[in-house]
Amino acid sequence: MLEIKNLRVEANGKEILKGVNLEIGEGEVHAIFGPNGSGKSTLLAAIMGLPPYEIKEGEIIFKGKLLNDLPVWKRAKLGIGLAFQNPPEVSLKMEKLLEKIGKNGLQEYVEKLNMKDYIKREINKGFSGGERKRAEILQIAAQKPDLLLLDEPESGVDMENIYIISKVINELLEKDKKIKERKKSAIIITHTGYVLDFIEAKLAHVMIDGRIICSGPPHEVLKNIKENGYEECKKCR
Amino acid sequence: MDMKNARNAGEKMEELEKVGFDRKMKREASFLAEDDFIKEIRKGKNVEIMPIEEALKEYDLPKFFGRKDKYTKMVLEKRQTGYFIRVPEGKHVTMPVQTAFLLKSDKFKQILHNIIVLEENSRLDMISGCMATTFNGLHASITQYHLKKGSYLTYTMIHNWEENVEVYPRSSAYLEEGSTFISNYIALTPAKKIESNPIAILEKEAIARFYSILYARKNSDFDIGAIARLNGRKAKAEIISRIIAQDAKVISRGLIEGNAIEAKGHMECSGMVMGKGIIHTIPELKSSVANVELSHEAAIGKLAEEQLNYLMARGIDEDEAKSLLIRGFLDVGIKGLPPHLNKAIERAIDLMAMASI
Repeated sequence: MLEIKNLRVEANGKEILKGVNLEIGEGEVHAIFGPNGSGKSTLLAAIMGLPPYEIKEGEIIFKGKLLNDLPVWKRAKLGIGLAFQNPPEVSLKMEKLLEKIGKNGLQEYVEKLNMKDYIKREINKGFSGGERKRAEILQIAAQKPDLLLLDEPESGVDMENIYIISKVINELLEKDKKIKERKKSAIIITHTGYVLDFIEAKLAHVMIDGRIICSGPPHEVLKNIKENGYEECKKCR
Repeated sequence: MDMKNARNAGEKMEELEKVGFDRKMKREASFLAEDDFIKEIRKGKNVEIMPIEEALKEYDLPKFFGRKDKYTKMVLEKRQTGYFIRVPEGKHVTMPVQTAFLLKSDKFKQILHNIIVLEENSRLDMISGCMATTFNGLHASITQYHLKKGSYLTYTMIHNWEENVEVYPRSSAYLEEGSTFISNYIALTPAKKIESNPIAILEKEAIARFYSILYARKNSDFDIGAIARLNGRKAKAEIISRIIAQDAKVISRGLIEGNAIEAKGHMECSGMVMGKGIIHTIPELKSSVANVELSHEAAIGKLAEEQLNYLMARGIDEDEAKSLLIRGFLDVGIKGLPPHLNKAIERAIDLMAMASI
């Protein structure tokens, strides 16, 4: 579904991604670990096409289409949905945005995510950390993307909300279907790995200084990081 | 009238709905004037409505105490038409009264005088539209409001002018004890000049709220504001505006005077500048006694790139995302209006904001 080849990305003249290679098949969920500033969020922003990130080299191919020069909204239309780590406050009522994204069956998710009172309000204004994350997942649910980019969905969220959010993400990822029948994929950035207790990932990657330096079974990779820290990972470069 | 103007006029007649004049909606009474003559006057059971000329003969009308300049002089000396509306004591009118003024002939000078009187403990919602179907012209008016004890008036004015039209409304409102006046002004289409600065005098425990929603474009020059004199104890005023200036200039004024103890006033202006726009806010607070609470806040910014990208990441193209943000910005959340009037305002903003990009 997604193929990233030797991706080099700059922001304001500074190189952040230094040759990333990544392949994600249909129905696969991948996790990315890495210390702060290693380029995890940049990778998601580059896939989405957000400024100020500029592709200097390499390719991002989604469903066989080269994304490099496509505007953000066209990438979203193609089926990519990003749940922002720190979404901005927007002077627009959430229900107006949801109307525009406009997919059927949304009411169900409004209830599942306890967002009934929030959709009448301006997006993220006065929302707590957990409310913002739920609002992000609600918008993603409205988009129904084929590839979900989840940037730290659990950061700043209490256990109860992690559970609520994960449940919906699993539905969006068609986890109720047989493995073979699943068509939706995801990249999840996580610091703590908590969210992986609720959402099964096929593979985890460790990103250090703009490169993916190792990949393996998520719980094994996480165990190694917890035991030895990223310092040990850096030796693998 | 040439063909272009004639066609424009035809289209605009249907567009009266955009300024809230809607024959399909339930209204208590209607008043429609074109240039200097009354085209339609539909009376209601619960309000008195008549041409101003008749009222001048019949009633001892309140004195105008607003700004005195060449336009008020013009109106007082050369008034052409206008309405007089009176709500009897204790009467709560449930359906709104709608009025509209259409500036139709090229280079016409429309000179109007309106008076609204609410007797004690009455209530009225008004929706008033003004629009031009000609590209050149002038609209000068005086509107006087007299709210007697305990009465409640919401007055929503929607303007839809053309690029070469000059507009000089002058208004004064006298609020007796315990009365409430909610004034909403919405102007979202270009005009050569709009200058409006209504003045309200508030007696004990009276409340005035002025909301302005302005979208100035194409070299428009808007000078809009409100003055509230809090002369009675516990009188309360709010002046709130949302302004977009896109290649246009807007001066946003406000003056709240606290002249009696425990009076409260708040002013709030949010502005967004696009292209070569200019927003100049002039908020003034004046207090002549101790123990009053007056405040103001203002913020002017640009259309935020971050918000734009956020909406685009949801699959919305750039133009539509801009239009959504503009629409959202103009959503000031007017308090105290009946729901159907809120809907009419939302619809007017939707139509004009969406068409503007």
